[in-house]
Amino acid sequence: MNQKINQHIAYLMKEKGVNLIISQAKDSNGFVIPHFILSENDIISSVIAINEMRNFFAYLNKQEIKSFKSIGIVCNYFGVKTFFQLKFENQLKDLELFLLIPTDDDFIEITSEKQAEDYLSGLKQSTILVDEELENVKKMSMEERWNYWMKTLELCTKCYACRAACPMCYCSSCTTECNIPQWIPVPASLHGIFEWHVMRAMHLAGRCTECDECVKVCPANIPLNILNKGLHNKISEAFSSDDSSIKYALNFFQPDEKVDFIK
Amino acid sequence: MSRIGVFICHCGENIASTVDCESVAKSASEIPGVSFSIDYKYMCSDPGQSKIKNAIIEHKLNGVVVAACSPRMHEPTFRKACAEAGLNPYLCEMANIREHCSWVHPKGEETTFKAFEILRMLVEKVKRNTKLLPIKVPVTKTAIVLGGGVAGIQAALDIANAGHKVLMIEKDPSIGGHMAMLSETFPTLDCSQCILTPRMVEVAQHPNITLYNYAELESLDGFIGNFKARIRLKAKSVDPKICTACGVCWSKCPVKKIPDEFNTGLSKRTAIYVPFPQAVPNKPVIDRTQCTYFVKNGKCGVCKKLCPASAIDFETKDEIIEVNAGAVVVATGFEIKHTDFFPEYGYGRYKDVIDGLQFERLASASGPTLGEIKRPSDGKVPETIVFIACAGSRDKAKGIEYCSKICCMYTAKHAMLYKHKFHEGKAYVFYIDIRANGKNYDEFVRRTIEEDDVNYIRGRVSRIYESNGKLIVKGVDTLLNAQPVEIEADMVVLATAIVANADSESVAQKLHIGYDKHHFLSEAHPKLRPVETNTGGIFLAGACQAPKDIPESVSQGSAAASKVTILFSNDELTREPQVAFVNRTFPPQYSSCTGCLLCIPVCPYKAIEKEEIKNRNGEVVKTVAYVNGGLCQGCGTCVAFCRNKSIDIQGFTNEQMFTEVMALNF
Ligand SMILES: Cc1cc2nc3c(=O)[nH]c(=O)nc-3n(C[C@H](O)[C@H](O)[C@H](O)COP(=O)(O)OP(=O)(O)OC[C@H]3O[C@@H](n4cnc5c(N)ncnc54)[C@H](O)[C@@H]3O)c2cc1C
Ligand code: SF4
Ligand code: SF4
Ligand code: SF4
Ligand code: SF4
Repeated sequence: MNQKINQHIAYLMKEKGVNLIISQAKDSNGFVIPHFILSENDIISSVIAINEMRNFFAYLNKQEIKSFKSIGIVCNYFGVKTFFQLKFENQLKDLELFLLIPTDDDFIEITSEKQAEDYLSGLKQSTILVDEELENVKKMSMEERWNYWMKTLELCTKCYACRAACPMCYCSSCTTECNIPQWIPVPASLHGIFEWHVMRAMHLAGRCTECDECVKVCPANIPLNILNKGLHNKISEAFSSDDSSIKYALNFFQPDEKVDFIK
Repeated sequence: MSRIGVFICHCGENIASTVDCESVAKSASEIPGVSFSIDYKYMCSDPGQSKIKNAIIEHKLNGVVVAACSPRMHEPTFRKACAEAGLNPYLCEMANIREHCSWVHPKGEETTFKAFEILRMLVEKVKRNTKLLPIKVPVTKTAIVLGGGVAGIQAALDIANAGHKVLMIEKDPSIGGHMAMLSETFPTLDCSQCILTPRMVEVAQHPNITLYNYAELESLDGFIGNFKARIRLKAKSVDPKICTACGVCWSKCPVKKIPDEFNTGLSKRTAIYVPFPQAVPNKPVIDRTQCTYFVKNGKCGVCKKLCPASAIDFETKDEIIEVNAGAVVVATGFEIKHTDFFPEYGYGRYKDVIDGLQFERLASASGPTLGEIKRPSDGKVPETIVFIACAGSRDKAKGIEYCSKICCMYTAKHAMLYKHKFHEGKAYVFYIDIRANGKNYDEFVRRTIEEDDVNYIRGRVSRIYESNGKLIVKGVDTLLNAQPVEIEADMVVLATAIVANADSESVAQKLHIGYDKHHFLSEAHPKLRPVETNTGGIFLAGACQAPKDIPESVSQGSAAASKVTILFSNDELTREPQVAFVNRTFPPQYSSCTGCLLCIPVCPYKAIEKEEIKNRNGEVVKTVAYVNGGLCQGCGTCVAFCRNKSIDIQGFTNEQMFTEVMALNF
């Protein structure tokens, strides 16, 4: 990380009682991985471009990490979005958080929802090229689409890495684990895979931050972001909620709402 | 081990004519877990029920499935029978093989097979049913009556006379509603105020009734037996406890040109006013939208200077109070359409085209003309008068396709009153057809036509315009081959449509009750539950539900009161236990609920709240959702919504529904 962030991290740990910083580093293969700073000795300088950065907010949903109480996290735009959405969903309670967003040779610090909202409303970032792929899928006939997803999803092994990496998949027991009744079949059969992915997409509709962690960690290279983005677009159309809106489309209703999707 | 009893009903021929009940009973006996199975002609009859009871005892059944009609019909019957034989009633289920099968399919093997499959689904469900205990909730024996018209007055008096406390909320300075404005009432022509005023006074003096006049309901939360209401007491600017109603203030108030609502704009009132001489309570309020002191910041103050009792205080503010109540009677009444609604009748431009309420005020002995029918423009007694029934009502083009119900009657009354007061006058009534179906109603209309010589013309009026000081009324007589009719009238009275209050929608939303497309409040069932709403503990009375006359409004007021007193006859309420609950698991998870609380806004009954799970030291270990069993109506919205299936409905758990569906042979 750049000089200024590192200085600030040292300051936070020394003066502010922050006892964990989730930073980012590259491993020997050049993958971006989390770098946990537990003391000033752990601070390293590393160079990661802002668009290469990952979203490690999933860690903040873990009890082991939560117990640190006062935590700093290095992130980019998507981290801020995640922070905002998780707050809206009453997660991150009792945590004192410092979001550190690197800029060219400086950084921005965000600690409150208000700051996050201001930051987000000034920016709007799109995910990697997914629009183009989404357009391709949308051009397909229903049958072609079906075959496309059959072919693509067949590779899924139900390893649930996408779920583990997703900051919005924080449920302590996921519906996939629910066995009374067993809604989602356990085996990675086509049936089970389809149900898992339809469910995953629905549960993230209107909540997904488009950070693409799920895509990055998938060993089968399944383009989940096509589903994510597709649903995101649908919801924006139907509810015209822009990215930084805190209304959650699926539980929000106004008596004078004149929407026709339910017909 | 399941020991399930299966009982297949023939429903006379209703089921047996298309389903082979005997063979269903035979196949059912082979389902694993079924230890008893019979068919019978009428399961719901006494002998039928006895068969169930005996089987429960003899075969030690721990589950019962009755394959018969819709559970909406007889579920309570069979559950009660089971309970009487010592089986928890929620271990009894009904398989609907009538509406869902025998009635909709022809006789045949497939129909019989479908009946069996439906039955099998329920057998599988019952295997997973658990004993449920009814929920008990305490009852606050105080009723809120919203609206002080005749319906509300009746309800309040009945409840109060039964010994319960009543809080009446009336938005106007006085109670009485529309009935207080009427002259004489059909079909007996007794004076409206003479019969109403004593009731109004009784309300004010009743030890069990607290009257909040000039007040509005801010919000209502809670549930049957346990409502919490916030009431806004609008600033009256006059302390009613000190005021002696001497009248100095309103006789001296310099703002004298305000159209008087009680007299439907036919006279003027002052800014500090009592709406009418018989008002209850008979204490003035200051209309702050008109009073010079409030409009011109602190100027005037004449009334305050002159009040001998020093009762006037310009500084009082709206006050919000919180009250608890166990039941609510909604009696907010109606409004009428005004003449400005009718472009064809001059858009309210012609002074002598008036509505029915205005006629009531003209005909009223205490009205602006002291009961003489004088037209508003020049005070002359009209020599020719035209009444138009169904003005707006039953008119799709105007968006009011319903019948306003009381207009035929009051129009006949108006024509009769006019003729009684002015024998030489000519009265015409345009009507579509006459609806006079009440006790002595038709006789009343006949009298108007036959004895009082009122000219009834069947047809609609297409246009009214002014010409040489006359109102030209153009219509057709459909009984005379649609022959055009033209009448030169001195005054026209429109029996304008009865409509729901302008704020009816927002009142309904505050109360969480339903309303129809015309914004009249909805009853729970049009025939069998006409005074209940779909929200437990909230009842309807009077014209807020649909156009009604006085006898109907009063009967419904009493009906609603009896519902309230039935509710208050117990200290505790028993509720069906089919409510939602958020699961509990072992620590450290405590519950699979993640506390996202996104389900809170989903619940249409506001039954979900936040709960903090605490450990023995009182420290919060987890925040989760909590369903208030008293409020939950078991609609299941939250169950469908929760991403991680943390909510279930007792008696309809995910597991039970899943098993039921999976039991089908696809
Ligand atoms: C022109 C005309 C003539 C009629 N003549 C006859 C007749 O001769 N015989 C007959 O039987 N019937 C007659 N009726 C019908 C009669 O007026 C009604 O049946 C009766 O008034 C209905 O009573 P109610 O209590 O339901 O409503 P209302 O009389 O409308 O009373 C409702 C009360 O609730 C109050 N209110 C409204 N909203 C709120 C709120 N949100 N919060 C608090 N308070 C509120 C109002 O201020 C009012 O006091 C006539 C009606 C009209 C229009
Ligand atoms: S989509 Fe990829 S990451 Fe997710 S379960 Fe399937 S294989 Fe694993
Ligand atoms: S992009 Fe993937 S990982 Fe990121 S929030 Fe959406 S579903 Fe979760
Ligand atoms: S019950 Fe479900 S939706 Fe409600 S707070 Fe818990 S996890 Fe969220
Ligand atoms: S079942 Fe319906 S009424 Fe009950 S808590 Fe859930 S959403 Fe509310």
